Amino acid sequence: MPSSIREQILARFAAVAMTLPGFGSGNVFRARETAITRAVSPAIAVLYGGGSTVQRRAVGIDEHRITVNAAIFVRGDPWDQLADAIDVPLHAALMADAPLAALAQLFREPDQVEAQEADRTSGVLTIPYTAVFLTRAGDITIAP
Amino acid sequence: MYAQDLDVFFTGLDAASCTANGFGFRGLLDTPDESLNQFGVNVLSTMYVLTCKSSDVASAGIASGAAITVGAAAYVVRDVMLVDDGAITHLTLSK
Repeated sequence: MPSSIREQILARFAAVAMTLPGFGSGNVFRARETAITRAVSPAIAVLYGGGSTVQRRAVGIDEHRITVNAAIFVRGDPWDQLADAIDVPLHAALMADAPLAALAQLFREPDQVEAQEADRTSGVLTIPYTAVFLTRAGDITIAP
Repeated sequence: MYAQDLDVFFTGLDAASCTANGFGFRGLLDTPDESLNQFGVNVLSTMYVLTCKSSDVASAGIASGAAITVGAAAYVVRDVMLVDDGAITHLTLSK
C-alpha cells in the first residue's frame, strides 16, 4: 500500500537532510527512542508535529496543514552558532528540493531553542515547518 | 571537634593524579552517563565530575575554563562547586 502524502513529506525531509555534508543515515533520524550520544552529534531529527487543519477545497479535494519539525542537535559552545551553521544549508536544501516542492508548500515558522549543561553544552534548535498539501478526500495517498 | 584529614579520601587506588596550572594534586573522577530530554528526544551525556580538596583547587588557581589533566586525559573545567562545608569541591569537566 502506498504511503500517505504526509509520510512522503516526512521521508523527503529526512532524505534532504541526509544530503548535507557530514550527515547521513547515522545522524539523521525520524522517530528515535534511543538517546543521541555525543559521538553521533551533530544530528538532525525530523519529527512529525501533528496536523492543524483539514479543509474541503473542492468536491473530493482536501487541503491539509501539518507541522514538520526539523530539530538540530549540537554539542559545544556556542551551541546556537554551531546549530546555525546547519540550519542555513538545511533550510536552503529543503526550500530548493523539487520533489518536496511537488508534495507540499513549505512555510518556515518561528524557531524554538533549548540547551542544557552536559559534558559539552547540549543544544537543540527546532525549526517548525508548516507543510500545506492537497489530497483526494477519499485517498490520502494521492494528490489531485 | 576533630581534625579533618581529607587526604585519606584521596590516597586510595581510585584516586587519580591531576594537574592544573602546573600544580599537582589527587582527585576522584566519576563518569556517570545521564539522559537529557530535549524536544522530546533523549540525549546522552557523560557527566564528568572530579572530587578534590578545595585547598588544592585554590592552590592550582582552578576556575571555569581551566585546562586540567586527570590521569592521562585532558579536560576543561566547566563549574567549580563547593560541597557541604566547603572542604571538598566538585569540578564538572568537559572532555
